[in-house]
Amino acid sequence: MEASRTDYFSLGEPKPDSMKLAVERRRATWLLIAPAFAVLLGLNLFPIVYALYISCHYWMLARPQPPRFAGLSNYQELFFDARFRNSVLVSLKFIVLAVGIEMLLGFGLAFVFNTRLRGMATLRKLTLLPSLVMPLVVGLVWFYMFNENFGIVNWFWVMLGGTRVPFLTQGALALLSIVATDVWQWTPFVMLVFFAALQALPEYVYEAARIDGLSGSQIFFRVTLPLLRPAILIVLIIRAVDALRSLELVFMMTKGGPAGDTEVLPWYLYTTGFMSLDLGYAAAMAVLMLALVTILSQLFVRLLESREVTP
Amino acid sequence: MTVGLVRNKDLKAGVRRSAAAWPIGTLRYLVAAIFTGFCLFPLYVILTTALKTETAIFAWPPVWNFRPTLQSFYNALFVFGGRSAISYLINSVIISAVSTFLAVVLGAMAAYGFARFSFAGKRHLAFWILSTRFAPPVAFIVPIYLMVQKAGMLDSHIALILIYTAMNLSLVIWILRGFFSEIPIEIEEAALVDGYSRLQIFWRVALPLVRPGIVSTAILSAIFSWNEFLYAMVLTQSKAATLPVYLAGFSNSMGLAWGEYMAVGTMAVLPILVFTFALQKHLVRGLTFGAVK
Amino acid sequence: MLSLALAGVTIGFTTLNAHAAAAAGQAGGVLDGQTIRILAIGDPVFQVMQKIHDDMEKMAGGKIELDVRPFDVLHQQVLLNAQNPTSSYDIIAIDLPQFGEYKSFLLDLNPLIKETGFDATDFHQAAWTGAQVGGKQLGIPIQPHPEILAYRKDLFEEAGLQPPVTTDDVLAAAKKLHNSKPGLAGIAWNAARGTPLGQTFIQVMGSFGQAPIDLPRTDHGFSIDNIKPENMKPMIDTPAGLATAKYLKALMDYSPPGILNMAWDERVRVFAQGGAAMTYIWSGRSAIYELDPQAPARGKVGYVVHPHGPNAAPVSPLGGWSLGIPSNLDKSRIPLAWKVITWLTSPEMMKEYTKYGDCVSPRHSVSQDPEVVMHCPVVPVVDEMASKGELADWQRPPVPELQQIVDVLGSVMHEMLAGKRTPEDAVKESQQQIDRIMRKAGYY
Repeated sequence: MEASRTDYFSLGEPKPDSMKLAVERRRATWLLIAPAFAVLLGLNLFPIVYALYISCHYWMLARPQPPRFAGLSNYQELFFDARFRNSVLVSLKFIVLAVGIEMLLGFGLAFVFNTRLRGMATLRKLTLLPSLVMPLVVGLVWFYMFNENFGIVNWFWVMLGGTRVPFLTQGALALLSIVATDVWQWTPFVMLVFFAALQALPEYVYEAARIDGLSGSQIFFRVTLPLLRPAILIVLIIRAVDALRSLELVFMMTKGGPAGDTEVLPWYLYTTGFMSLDLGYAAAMAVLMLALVTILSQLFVRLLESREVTP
Repeated sequence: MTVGLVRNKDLKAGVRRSAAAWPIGTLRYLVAAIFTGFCLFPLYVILTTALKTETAIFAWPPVWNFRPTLQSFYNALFVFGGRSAISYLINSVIISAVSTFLAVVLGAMAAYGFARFSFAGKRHLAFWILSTRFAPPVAFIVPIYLMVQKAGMLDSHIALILIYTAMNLSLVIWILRGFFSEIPIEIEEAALVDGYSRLQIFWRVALPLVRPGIVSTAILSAIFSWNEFLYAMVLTQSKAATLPVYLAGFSNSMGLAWGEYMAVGTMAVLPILVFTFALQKHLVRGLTFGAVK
Repeated sequence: MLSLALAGVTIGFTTLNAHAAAAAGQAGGVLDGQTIRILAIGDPVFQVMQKIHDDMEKMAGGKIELDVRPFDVLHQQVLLNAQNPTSSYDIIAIDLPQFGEYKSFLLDLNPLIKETGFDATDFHQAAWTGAQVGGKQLGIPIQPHPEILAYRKDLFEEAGLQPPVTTDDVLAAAKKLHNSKPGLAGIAWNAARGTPLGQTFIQVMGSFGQAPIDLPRTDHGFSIDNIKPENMKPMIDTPAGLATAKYLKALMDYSPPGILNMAWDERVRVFAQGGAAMTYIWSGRSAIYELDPQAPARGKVGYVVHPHGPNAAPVSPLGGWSLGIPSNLDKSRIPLAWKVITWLTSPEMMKEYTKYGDCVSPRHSVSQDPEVVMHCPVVPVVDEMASKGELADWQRPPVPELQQIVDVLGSVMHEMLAGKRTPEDAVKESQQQIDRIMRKAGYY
């Protein structure tokens, strides 16, 4: 049954029916949705409220003193906290670099794989593997490879004529190494999304364009790109939020060092809350982070709502 | 609207069809091969390091030809100075399996509810559920830790199972909602006429028809639960500790038991690789929440 | 997938049980078929336990689950474990300065000591009382030792240098010996960001005559017996603090490459391999070179107490690890935990540890054993320092906020070493941050 595409949620809506059926419908709806809703209410909505509550206290774990109400002083302290500002900056740098490179590479590679040449499908399937590997293991193996004494990356570098480089312990290099690892892991995912989007592009639009005599690059910029816009935005937001909240790589490879060069916001939050055990302060950071993520996820949801991605 | 995935079409989007396709083809193969190699190389490193002897692991320049040994696997699983990886492995399996089961069951029910019924506030509820996909564990862990602690459920399987279920519900609901809405409504209306109740229709008619969706969301949920590290690290210690917790206990300044850690890494990664390689078709839909089919 | 998982689980369980059965096959022994769960640190004595783990299981007749963790993870896990309804571990390792932080969730061992007639007199006085808080015995020392300075006797003799006594001596000797041979640095020390550098700072500041907080002074140093809220004021922004910062900054010029990531293991390894002429070292780790026939430093090392600053007395910080029982442990397991602690800290086991790489002995009987002295020349030196009263523990006062003090110093001072701050600035910034922590905790 073909339904109109304006309201995503009214697909397959059965026709209105009698009172008895309506009551049964209501009961069924409730029974079907309530359990999932309850789980999410308890483990998603309630924690947000609780985090707000915690953030208004001085709350240290494992101390004899009980938590003390403190109003907005945790937020005030955050405002003046240079280390917090640094962590936001580092996160920003990380997201822009990592996601930027992943989008460009993934986009380009999608075109490379967009062909029926023999064996390309298999190669393409193999490339997805990095995106499915446990992020902690990704951190582990790249930590091994970047090691300055026996790491393979250094070996390649030396072969190419350089000297041994302390990739993970030298200032800006550390962040770049983390970016490189993230790019390795997630470019395949981005590529796969763009590939699928390319595959779903309708043939007839291209036929029409060719008939109209548009050149290759004109087709690309005036036809392909606009058609891919929804996919681009969707994958951009997904990657941006995932990069914002990830800390496995920093955990395994640099632990925020050297000197805070890779201290991303999640890492500062984690060490504050679960190493220094200052839960109140960590909760304040958590609330700010949640606010940011909510904005981004609202964007995502609007995108999804506005139009179908593959017409 | 077409159902299911669009097949691999002979379409060179954005590239003008030219007669001289051969050098472009070679270039494609080259780039694709390099990229694929780059993707697979670190996985190769994990496996080979797990099979190397200690001297080979620390050798410089790196050793490419070596005699493989299963010593690291043996150590990691059964010896390793007192705490073997086996209990962590078992916990990972149990927690992933149960949370996946719960997520799929609860999610399928809710997905059907969203697909077939309308009620006040449905759109807002649906959007809210979608947005829970983006929940940052590092922010949620602060209140959730206190909640779990006060409930006396620290270092318990059930806490992680519930949290992972919540983590995966968004994905399951959104994907299956799409699958359910693609079922022709006439089938269900016919069953209604035959006197089945709504719930029976869900269970006997609709659910079997979305089996591919169930399989793919189940596998994706299992992967996400299996890979999750932060909640596990903070909420468990020994009884319910999963594989990522074992790996996270590693540090860069002491006792670098690389072989054993790579062996555990191999164990952590292998099941995923095997299953998803077989699962390609529905992955894109799953990973982008149906935004791209 | 399910059948694969089930198969794996079955195989896992059967092998696990087979292994347990094999170990428990020797019934009797301390464990008598049971399992003991220990949470410990990657320090020498526990690394030795990992090495001889299988033999220990045979001796004890049961399973030993030894979880070894790095310092920060251990700290986190102990505190989180204390929040569990029942403890996931029977025995935990506690660093000497941590007793203040952990005191509210450690079991008082005095009743057990009385009940089983445990003899405490064999232990070094300072180590034994270090594990006490408010009259309660919260731990039994297993690897207590001081941080001292190790130097290459041969290199010093060659250059005509005397063993360093003051910090100026150290700088002079380091300057003279740095790069005097290829690959030889002047001095190795803990400069890695976080706990390593943080602890270095307050320990060295102790040798400049200042405790990190405003403790009441005594004739030989400071008192940690009765710490009141007003004593909690940080004392980083002081002449001694500034002198410490400048001293550490000066050391950078004579340090080995990679110094900014160097911690407890690496500094000793570098020294052992002949990469540095001097190193600060926790005495037990001397085993790394004393027991390694191939180490260039073996047999050529002299030891002195922490060099002191002008107007300060020579004093080395006492530290090291003790074993304790969490107070939320299941009551039925306490007797077993106590039996195992007694066994692990017995003279026989202590002697075993020295054979395999742990050069520490808090027991007089073991310290004077000629075999032990042969493997571990540092042991009698430490004994002498103990009797001269050169070992103290006020440099790291047992207050709950100690780790936070260390964290602040570990990151602000690291920025100074990396050139991002001046010593004056670093000292002021640390003072401010620690002050804020104390106010938040409600001390003043």
